[in-house]
Amino acid sequence: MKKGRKLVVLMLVAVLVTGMFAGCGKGGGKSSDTIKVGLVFSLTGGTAITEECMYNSAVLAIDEINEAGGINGKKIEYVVKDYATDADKAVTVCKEMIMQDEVSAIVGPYTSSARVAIEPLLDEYDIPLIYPTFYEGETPNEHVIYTGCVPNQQGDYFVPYLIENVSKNFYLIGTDTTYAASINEQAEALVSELGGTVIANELVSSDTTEFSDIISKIKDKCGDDGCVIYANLNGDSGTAFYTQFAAAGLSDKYTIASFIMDESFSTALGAAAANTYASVNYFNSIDSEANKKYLESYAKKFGEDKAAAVTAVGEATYDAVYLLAESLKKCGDDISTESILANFDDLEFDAPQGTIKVDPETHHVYCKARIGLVKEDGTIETVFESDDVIKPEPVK
Amino acid sequence: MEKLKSLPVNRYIDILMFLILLIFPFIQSTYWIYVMSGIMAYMMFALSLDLLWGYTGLMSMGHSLLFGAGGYMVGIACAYVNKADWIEFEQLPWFLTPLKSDVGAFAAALILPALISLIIGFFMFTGKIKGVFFSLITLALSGVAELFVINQSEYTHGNSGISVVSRTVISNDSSRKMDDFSFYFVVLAALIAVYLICLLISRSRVGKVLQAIRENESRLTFFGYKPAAFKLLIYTISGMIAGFAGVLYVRVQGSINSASVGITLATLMLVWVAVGGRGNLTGAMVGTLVIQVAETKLNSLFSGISADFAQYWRLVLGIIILVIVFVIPKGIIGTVLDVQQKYLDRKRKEEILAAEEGQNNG
Repeated sequence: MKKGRKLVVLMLVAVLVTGMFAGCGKGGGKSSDTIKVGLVFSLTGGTAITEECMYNSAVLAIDEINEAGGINGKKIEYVVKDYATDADKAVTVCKEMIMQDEVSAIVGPYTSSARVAIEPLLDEYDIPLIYPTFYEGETPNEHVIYTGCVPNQQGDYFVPYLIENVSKNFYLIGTDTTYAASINEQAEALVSELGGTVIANELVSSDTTEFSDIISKIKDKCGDDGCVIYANLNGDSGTAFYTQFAAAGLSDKYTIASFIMDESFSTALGAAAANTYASVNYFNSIDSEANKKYLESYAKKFGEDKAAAVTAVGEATYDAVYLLAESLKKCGDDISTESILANFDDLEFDAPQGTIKVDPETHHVYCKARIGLVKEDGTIETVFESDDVIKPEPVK
Repeated sequence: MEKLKSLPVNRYIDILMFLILLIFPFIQSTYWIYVMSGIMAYMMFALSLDLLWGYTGLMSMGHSLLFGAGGYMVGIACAYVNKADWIEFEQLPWFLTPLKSDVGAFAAALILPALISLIIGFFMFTGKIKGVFFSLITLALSGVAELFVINQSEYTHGNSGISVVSRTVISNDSSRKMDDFSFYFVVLAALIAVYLICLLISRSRVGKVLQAIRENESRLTFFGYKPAAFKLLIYTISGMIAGFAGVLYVRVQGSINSASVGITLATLMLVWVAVGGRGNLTGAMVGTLVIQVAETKLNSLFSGISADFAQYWRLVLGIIILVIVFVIPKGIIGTVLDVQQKYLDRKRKEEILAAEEGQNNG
């Protein structure tokens, strides 16, 4: 009996192996009445929660564009690949999309490591990538269009606002990564320039989830005048800090402000995030026609509760697909990488966050800076908005 | 001819597998040639673990540390030579100066992992750290390495990782790139070479001592051997092979990031070797091949059916792995060898019985 079972499994494995080899060869042909676009997001893995909204927004935008008649009569056909928060897998699946599915452009991913890993492929196979995540800034790659905001579109307004409205004292904490370290460095300079006091500037390793020593330091050093806790902490580390900070009863005395706060964070944290500040180019509470339409169709397709957790990266993905569609429309019959990229220059789109424009120089977008206050129920209310769109400066 | 017949069945599987791998690029698309090149680099990596875990009984749960160390040497060299835009330092620190030249970088990629394993091994084996403690310490070291790489962003570009000149053997000059087809054969040749080296080690007298360490270390000590020295030797060799596999892997992928030294890869490779079967080299290679091809296939199959379905590919892969490990705990090749052994035993028994009967009759 036991031997029989083993044999069955061995045979199963054998079938599996032959099946793999047999099915390897197929390649997708390019049909002329559709335009193929590749989507690369983590549907599994550590950042899947964040990227779900990006993926949904991309699909939503493609469906809307197709319903409205497509691109010069052609429908957009999409292929989606899961890279499971693994940069190596991102390379593999992108190569698959480029070589097997023969996509015209790729939208995604979320992590910087995946973007960096994909870039050599884009250069080698000459394929455009629309990257929809706010990130730390880099020398623009000529095959990438960036639709998220860069630090100069967030921080330059955040610190002055906090000094004016919250407190002159700043306690800076950040995860020890290039991104958080450079943001905190810029903030430190700006605080001193504006006459504020920097009490401390601390970096912690990215897996820190125990903040009792930092919290007691904050208690000792910050005094009774109130203080801005400028905390740019990644993922789990950030969640832990907010929770422990609130549990220590410090939220009445001091105020947390963070770049990393967004709707997915605030809804997950609940009351622990209340009355803290966030800064990004989009909050889903923005009151505009375009945003209402976006959120309504999002809720219709994916449910009300999912729509409440729409974040800036989700909106940026929605914009990315629409901008790509606009560019493809301008391309006409010549759907080559060169013309897709060239047609992005100066492209404008009436996005949920307001009108955005692609900067021909850097291939990043002009967008407004916004500061938000987190409410008890997890929504983020916009308390400040820059008057005009800000020019992106990815390299400082 | 007699000698050939007495070979265990897994050596025939090896030969068959290498033959399939040899004709594979002629019948497959460029994409699959690329995928298979990466898998073959992983197979070398799995072989290095099999020497350590399968033959010597040292279950390293942090072998990716050595794989990544090799890869990062090439990565940093590429970034420096090609002046990546995130590099802010003018000169490499003294301990990284070999990376200036292509050959130096290649040598560093082999020597550094060997050196790391030599140092770790020295303290662990002379300190008589064994069994699960060895596993846990190596696991922790791999976790530490991941954080170290992320935090040393000045040289490693932190979380973002490094773009590497792909598909060259030693050169860091991007104009020397080969195409996927030719590079496939470079990796295949390297795999066969590594396989032969491992085979040679396992069949040598040193190999026998290693297996004795696995079976009964204290008895071996009574015989006058010093197990620590042998363990140190095999750990260093294994580290060097892992580093070499790391180099080829980043050359296939064209990038390296902190995941390459991390715990996820380190534990994934335990699955490869466990599924394939330990201590016979074939198992490590077959396990890697099956799991990695299944992973790639399932991912593309599931996203092909429907986008909503795409996220379940990992679940299915997990179930397949669980079923294999539960039903055939010795792994695929281990079970095949068992079946062969049972067949041989039965045949021998019959022969003896027949001989006895002949005697009785006579």
